[in-house]
Amino acid sequence: MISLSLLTPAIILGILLGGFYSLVGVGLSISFGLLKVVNVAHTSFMVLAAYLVLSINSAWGVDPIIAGLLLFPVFFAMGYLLYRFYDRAFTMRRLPQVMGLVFFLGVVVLIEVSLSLVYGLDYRSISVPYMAGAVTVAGMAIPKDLLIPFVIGVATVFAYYLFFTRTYMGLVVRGVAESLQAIRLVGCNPLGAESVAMGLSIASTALAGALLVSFQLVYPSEDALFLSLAFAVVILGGAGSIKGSMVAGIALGIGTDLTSAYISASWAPAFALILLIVIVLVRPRGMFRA
Amino acid sequence: MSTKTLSSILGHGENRVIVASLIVIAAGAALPLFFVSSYPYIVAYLVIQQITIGAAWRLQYANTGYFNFGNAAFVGLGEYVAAYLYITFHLGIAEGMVAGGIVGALLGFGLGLTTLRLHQWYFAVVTLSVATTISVFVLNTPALGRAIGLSLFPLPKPHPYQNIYELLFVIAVATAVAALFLTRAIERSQLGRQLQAVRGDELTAEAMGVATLRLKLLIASMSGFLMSFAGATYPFYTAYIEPNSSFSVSITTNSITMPLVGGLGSWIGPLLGGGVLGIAQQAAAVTISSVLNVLLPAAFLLFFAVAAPQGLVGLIRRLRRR
Repeated sequence: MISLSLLTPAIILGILLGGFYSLVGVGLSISFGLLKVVNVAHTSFMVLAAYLVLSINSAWGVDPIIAGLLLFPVFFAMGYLLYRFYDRAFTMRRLPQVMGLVFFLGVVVLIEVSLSLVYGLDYRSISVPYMAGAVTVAGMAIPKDLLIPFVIGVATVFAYYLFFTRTYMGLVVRGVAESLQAIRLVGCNPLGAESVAMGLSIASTALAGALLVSFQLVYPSEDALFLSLAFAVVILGGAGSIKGSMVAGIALGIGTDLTSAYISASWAPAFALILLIVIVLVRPRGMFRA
Repeated sequence: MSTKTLSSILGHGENRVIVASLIVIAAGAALPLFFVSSYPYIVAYLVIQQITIGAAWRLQYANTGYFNFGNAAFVGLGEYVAAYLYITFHLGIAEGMVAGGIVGALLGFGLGLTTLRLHQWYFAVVTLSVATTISVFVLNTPALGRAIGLSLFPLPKPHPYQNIYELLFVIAVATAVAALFLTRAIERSQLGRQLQAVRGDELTAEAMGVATLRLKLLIASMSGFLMSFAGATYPFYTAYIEPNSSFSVSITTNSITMPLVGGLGSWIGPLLGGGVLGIAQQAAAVTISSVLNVLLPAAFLLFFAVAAPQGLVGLIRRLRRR
């Protein structure tokens, strides 16, 4: 019997969780969809950021979200330089794209092994006092540890949306995804704009990692689970579409939460793949065009 | 023995390869009868298993361009099929391998059917989450032991060998030789040339009458069969399996590292890469530190992707040309 009393809270909690999923997916949508870089290490960067936030927090007592904001420019620089390197090592040498993928696979293993060596395999998290408890809205208790990641996630994705639709650089990156030749014909060198886009892509994982460690447990091999989730967001939303990752993240959040509510929480991780296969069969281009 | 008698035993051309393969298998089968031990066979078994899985992975990548990210799913599936059949129906290792292989082939076929008509990346992305999903299925299925896992005690009798590791070593050698032989034979056959045509220009190949989807599905099923077939022996090595290690991402990365290090362009790549990586890892573990041992695959992946994308085969070819 499907009980309807579970439905509304499950959907609302799903939307909140989905805001975080959007943030996890948006960076991958930029690299995979717009830059054609198959960054399978995307969520590894998120887990790396989570552990760095953990260290910053325990060393200086810095609030995890502030620590995430501090890491944002560091990760931006990392992404920027990574793209410069990627361009030199793979694109300019005309190596098959797969070599880039293999390179990022190496980064995945490197991050995971390093984290397990430095921090051990235990589950870690930070307890944030102001994220405990709940706020009551229209008679429904909304847990703050989901509300805050939702607000930060949605705000970041919205800011990214504005960057890619309203700024010159953002338009250049989307233009390259459309046609590199056309962009060159109008006399602009897209490498700078693309590097900035990759910087933003990696920087988003700094915030996602900071949020992750404050509302969930982290462990070194957590990246794999989130990588399938992030790809589900990207494919469902349409690779390269920022609006798409927003909507797809929330749809995935609702789906995951409904699975937990009506079937079992232990089945929830399978939802991403089932959704992915359905989209691939029905509408491989996703909901929105880049 | 002079080279002349050697070549008369080995025969000519393709026959020579067949005879050489049989000799390697026979030597592998005879070795434990004369040299009884366990540790060397454990190490060799693990390395040879990776070579087989690497060859199966390369079979699909090199022939069709589809990058399988779910090797762990196929290997883990083979493990669970074999372990379940052994515990419930007391079937042996060989039956478990065949059954596991068939299930793996079906998984490869099914995944292929959903994605092989689309761009290469869709297959990579979908296979990426398959391992997680199958492990979720195992975690929710009481008959498969859920998170607790399955125990295979008592293990089958390793007749005519002294211990199970010797038997597994012999099986692994035969499987690896068969896998390498198969990938080599496919590349040299009409099927292999058709596949290359599809990789080059799918539309043209299709117009020339090549059944592109059917060929890609065939290769996906074969590759899946081989991975699960090889994976089915792992439960007998560990005597106990549980979802976290059976579907671990490291299975996928290790089995991609081997052919990459050896060179993706040749059937011998997985063998060469497996040998080098296996020896390097053993040497590092014994002489320097076990930390280096776990970091080595990452270092190899990064180095070869950037500095030597053609792998060892490419390096050797370049040296020869000088």
